[in-house]
Amino acid sequence: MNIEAAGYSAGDAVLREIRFEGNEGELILIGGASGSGKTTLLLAISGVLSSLLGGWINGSVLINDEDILKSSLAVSRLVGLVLQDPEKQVLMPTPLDEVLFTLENLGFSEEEALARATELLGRFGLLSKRLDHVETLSGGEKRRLSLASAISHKPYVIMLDEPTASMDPWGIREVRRFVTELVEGGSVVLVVEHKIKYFLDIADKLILIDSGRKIAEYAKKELTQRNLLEIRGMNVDVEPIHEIPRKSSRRARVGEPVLLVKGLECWHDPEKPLLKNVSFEVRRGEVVALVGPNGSGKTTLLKTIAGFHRGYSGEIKLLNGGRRVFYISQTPDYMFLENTVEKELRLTASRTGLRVEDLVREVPFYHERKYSSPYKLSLGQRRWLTLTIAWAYKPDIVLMDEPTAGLDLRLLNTMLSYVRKLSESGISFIISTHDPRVLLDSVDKSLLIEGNRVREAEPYEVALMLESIAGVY
Amino acid sequence: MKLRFRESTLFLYALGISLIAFISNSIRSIIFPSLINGIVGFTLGRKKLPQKLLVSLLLLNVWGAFLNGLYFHNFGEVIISTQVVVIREGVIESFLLVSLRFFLVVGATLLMLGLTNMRDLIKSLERDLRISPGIAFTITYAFRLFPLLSKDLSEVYISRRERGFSSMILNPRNLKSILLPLLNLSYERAVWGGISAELRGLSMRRIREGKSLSVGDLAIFCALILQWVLALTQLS
Repeated sequence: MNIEAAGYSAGDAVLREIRFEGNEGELILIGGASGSGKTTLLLAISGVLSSLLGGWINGSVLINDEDILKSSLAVSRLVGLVLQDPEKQVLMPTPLDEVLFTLENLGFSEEEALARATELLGRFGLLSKRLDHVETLSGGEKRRLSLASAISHKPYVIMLDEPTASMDPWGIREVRRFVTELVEGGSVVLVVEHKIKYFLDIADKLILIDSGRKIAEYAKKELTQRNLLEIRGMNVDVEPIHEIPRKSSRRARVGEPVLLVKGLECWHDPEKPLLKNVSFEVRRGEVVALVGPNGSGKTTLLKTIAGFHRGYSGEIKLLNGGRRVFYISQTPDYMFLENTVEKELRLTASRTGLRVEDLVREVPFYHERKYSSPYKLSLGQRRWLTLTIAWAYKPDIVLMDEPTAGLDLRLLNTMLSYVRKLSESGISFIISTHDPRVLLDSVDKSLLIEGNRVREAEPYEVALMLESIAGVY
Repeated sequence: MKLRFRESTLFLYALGISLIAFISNSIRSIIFPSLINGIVGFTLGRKKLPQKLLVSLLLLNVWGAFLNGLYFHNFGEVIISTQVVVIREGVIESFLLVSLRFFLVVGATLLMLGLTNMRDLIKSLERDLRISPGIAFTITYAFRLFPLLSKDLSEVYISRRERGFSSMILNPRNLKSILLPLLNLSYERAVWGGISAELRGLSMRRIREGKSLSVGDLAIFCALILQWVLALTQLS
């Protein structure tokens, strides 16, 4: 692959001088921080950047000496791309339709397409759900479906865009297994990730990009401790938790109890309670991580505490003058009501009685982005803005649902430093997560969901457990 | 015996019925097709679309139609007079007309969705109506967004309540603040949906041979013609 330059609008190159080669049965891991051009690179390799998005590419992508950028019809036959968010990749109403859609597009006969789709859905554990509506599938199942539909036509090159984003460790382990199988089956697999630690041990090559340029390339044998130390400085998540020095607990700083949850049971179907006998308390200024796999009831528990889920019994009590709980959804875009950052802050000020200047001070990117739509901000900025809005409402407790999904190491640390700052001012947090990075030095305690029970656990131990499940060590 | 029909016939039916809503300017001409399609459509659509979304759509329409009547058609004899608002004949007429139009368009669309499957609909539009795969996909993908819209809507309501806003739509500004996140999220999904379709060979799709018309298709066309005739006779 040789991309001299590529971009979305004429004269504005997002990618420059990226060259590498891949062989059959190789896993090429492409690492880089958010905004470094990783996804654009995949869109350029697949030709979509120029054929669909109105962008441009100078260069060539050769597969068996054929430049697929010059014969766009060949691209979808030779390349399979798994997008970062399965919600956005899945197009059809049922898993069977989803896989058949690819095969029919590529000219497979109805009989052959049906046989192949059935076989694939069986392999990905979705056969019994082949006729269910895709919206009834869990996050992990949707990820498996997106993989199945991307490889159904046996493409030569398979590309995965941040396959661990929003995935719990169990899902990550599954993705690792599928990637290993694809590589063993002889495919060229490209994985784009900022959490490269999840694929480092199975990768044949690591390519690092920054600001749209390739800054380093390491063959498997070059991935030595010395080089890994060098990579750590490049803002990618390479360090397994067990290699990070353990820091002291933050618990000394917390105050009196502000929330008491006692004997709580939550359900969508009263016959099948999602959570049973949940009891815990949260202290003022305390940061609590709520950890559990996808679908274990984390969001339901947060929404129950916030008063948005009615299927529950038990006690939820605000103590010691606590009056306000604020829930922040995993998708920050739901929170915005105006079409510029400036108007959004003005609206917030008018609702909360704060001065606009106080809010502006909380938003470091305000002056450069004040006239931008909140929806056009980067993911990190959108998450920051939602937290500022929440803060403006003077809550005692902020409930954050998966706030680090999709954030690279730098953005994650920035977000967590904001959480720490607010917690020091007396706001408590319950953060639902399955991201081990959150548990390192930002939380005071963790609540672990196991089955339908919740128990308190030591954050560092939980982080180690999550990485162990994901297969990092 | 199962009545067989082409999915494209149902698409033409929904399109033809929706056109009645655009040409009708009297309650009499639209009431019959609206009730038939609304009742059948909402009954069938319940299985395919989340009930919450349907109810939200209905409520949105009822409130929107009422506000539209109140702002732009508040003339004629006084029907209700309170200290806050005076409602005249024109409001009721306008409210009924807009609601029936909505019932007609959504009912016919739900009827089509309730009886078809998205993938079969794409194939049928291509085979029978010779619509290009890109356009056929775009039409059908819009229907895939409905359940996602429903999920988005409930999350938007939660965020609004957190920020002290009512989930009721009281004025156009309220409506804008609800539509803004919904449209932005749908736009982003549509962009990635297009990328996903392109990468999975949509542009390579070949149009196959069409199916011939069946008794079921003829019955659907007859129902469409009958409703057009009824609407047109009442129109004059």
